[in-house]
Amino acid sequence: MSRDRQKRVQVRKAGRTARRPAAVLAVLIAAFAVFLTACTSTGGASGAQPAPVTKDDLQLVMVIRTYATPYEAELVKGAQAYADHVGIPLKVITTDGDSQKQLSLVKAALAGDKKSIVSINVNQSSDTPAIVNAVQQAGGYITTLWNKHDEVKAYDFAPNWVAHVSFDGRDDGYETAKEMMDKVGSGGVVALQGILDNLPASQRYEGFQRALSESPNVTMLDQQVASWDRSKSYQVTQTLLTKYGTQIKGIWAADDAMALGAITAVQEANRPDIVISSSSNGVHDAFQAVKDGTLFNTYASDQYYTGALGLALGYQAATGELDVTKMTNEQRQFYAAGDLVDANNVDKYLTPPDLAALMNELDTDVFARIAKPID
Amino acid sequence: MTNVASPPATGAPHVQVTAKRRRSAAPGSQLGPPIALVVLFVAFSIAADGFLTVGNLQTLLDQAAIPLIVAMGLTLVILTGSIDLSVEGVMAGCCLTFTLLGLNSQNGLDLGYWAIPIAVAVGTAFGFFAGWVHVTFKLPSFMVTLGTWSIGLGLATVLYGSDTPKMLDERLLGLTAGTILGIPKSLIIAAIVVALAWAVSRYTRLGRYAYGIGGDEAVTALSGVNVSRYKIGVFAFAGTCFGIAGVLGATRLGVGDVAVGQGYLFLGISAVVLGGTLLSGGRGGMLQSLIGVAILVVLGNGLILIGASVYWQKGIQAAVIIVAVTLTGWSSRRRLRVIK
Repeated sequence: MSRDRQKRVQVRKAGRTARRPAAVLAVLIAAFAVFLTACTSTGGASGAQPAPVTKDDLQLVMVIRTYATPYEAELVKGAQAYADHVGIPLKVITTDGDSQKQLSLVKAALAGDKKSIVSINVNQSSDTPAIVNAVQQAGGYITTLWNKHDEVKAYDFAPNWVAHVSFDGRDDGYETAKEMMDKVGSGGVVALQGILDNLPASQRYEGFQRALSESPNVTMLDQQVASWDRSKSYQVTQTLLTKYGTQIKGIWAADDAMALGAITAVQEANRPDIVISSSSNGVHDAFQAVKDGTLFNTYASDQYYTGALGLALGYQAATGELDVTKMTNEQRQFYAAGDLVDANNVDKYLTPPDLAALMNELDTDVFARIAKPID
Repeated sequence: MTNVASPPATGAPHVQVTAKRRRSAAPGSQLGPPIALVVLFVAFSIAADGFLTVGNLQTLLDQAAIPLIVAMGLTLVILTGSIDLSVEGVMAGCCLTFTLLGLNSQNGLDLGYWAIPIAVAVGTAFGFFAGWVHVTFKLPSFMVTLGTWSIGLGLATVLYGSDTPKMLDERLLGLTAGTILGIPKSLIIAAIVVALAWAVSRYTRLGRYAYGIGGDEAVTALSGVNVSRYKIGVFAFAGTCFGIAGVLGATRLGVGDVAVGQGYLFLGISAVVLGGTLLSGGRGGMLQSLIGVAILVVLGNGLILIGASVYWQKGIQAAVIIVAVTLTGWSSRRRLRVIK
């Protein structure tokens, strides 16, 4: 019996010593949680009633997928130019195309005591509301680019979501494909699509199909997915060229990267007669290809402008220059104007844009390039 | 005691016996993949216009080159029972290293052909690093190589800078384009890699011990083999293969592309498993993986030629992979009682 009791006491003691570090840990966690709530509650309070602030209280945040695509690298150059222009440091966040990572990194960036002005190339349409809510809770301002669901309207949200800006893929797709088909005249063309469940991809293909319906002598031989990927596009084009051979007179790609991959395959197959058209973005390499004559056309969405605009809207809202509550629905979410680029006008795109003029434009009329509302 | 006295002497025969017995255990499973390949090939030849043409066969061979090289590296790692997920990152890192060392649009360097061995050595270094971390800190290989993937991508992103680096050296650009006697140059390079990989797996200690480690690591270690050293060697071999694949990808597109390896991880592992190499290690081989790659490349090409809807292609491809893997493992399903 006594031995039994001894054992029990030992066990109890052992339990207590084991529990002690756990208790310390629990206290620490609780303290940390209190600290965190204290931090976030101050952020939340200021978020309820946004008031104009000075430059020192602000930080600029640009969220992209990766630096390593020409499109996003140029986007950052535009954002950096705006940051230099207003004299506020720019923080660039890369998400590697991971929506979860995107949300947690944005939240981490918001956690500081400076008010954040966020411009984001949204990874997926479904991410937008969560990101916007996080920024709103922290009392920052956000402009979203490219992706959001149609039923989510920026103007239904608090003024912290200043605007949503995109480019209408239906216009790019139509204009580039139509010009290519007119050049081809008659014969077969193929289309290279982006990732299928992606809004710009489906919009651009819609534009392509409209052009096709208006070109009775042109037939679509095939359409394949090359997932915005240069290598994939090269391989798919290789296969299509062996399948259709001389029947192919034209290739339309939904973006520059895929068009550039197609150009490599076409050059290897020694088919300079094929007219290659790119639906969007107008990155430097694509302009150079237009100049060289290997790419027939592309569509410039001016990354420098887009990168700077995303921050300009938020900055002007934060400083009170722009009263978001008085903005029209069209100003809260709009398609910006792009430009069809071919051999006739490519020269002016070969050099980077005049950044001083761009800053001047954004200072005087931030809405100068609205093409139409997003409905 | 005798084991300790003369490790290689006792280690090698034991391993050989294990490998031989294991390979002869299920003769039926070895015939599955080649039959699948022949069936697919015949089916597409009949159903798809333009499949059985010289042009398309050349395209097929060219498209098989990079997956083959990747699969060789993966096979040896998988034979040891480990996995290497770093393919895409290492390819990207080596692709950018190669592009920036030869004459290019970004910096003043012009190392000519030297860019090739240096870039491939970067791949070897990545593999060595992954293997070393794996055995030294006893971390699961999938975790370590997942990290190596990101490091490779990170290196590539840093090297990329703010504009796509373009290769300007005509010698390097023309290296893999075109054909010799009707065979794509890229495939000739891949064939050399396959031959070397096969020789390594067959005639070197590295290859033989890889089978042994995959068959039963504890027994191999007990028989005196320095398992850690050979494991590092296996990862370094895989990294070397990924490096070659990255360089090949660069010469093909003529630019340093961070996305150069995209899709090769899934393709590579599928090909290895499809060929009949067990993910648990110990059984399989380079030539089996060769068949696996051939099946997947023929499938991808054939589905486009046959005019399969783009919405269905991925699904069909995946379904064929699952069916083929099931058939490959059919004869051994009784012996494998635990599947993870």
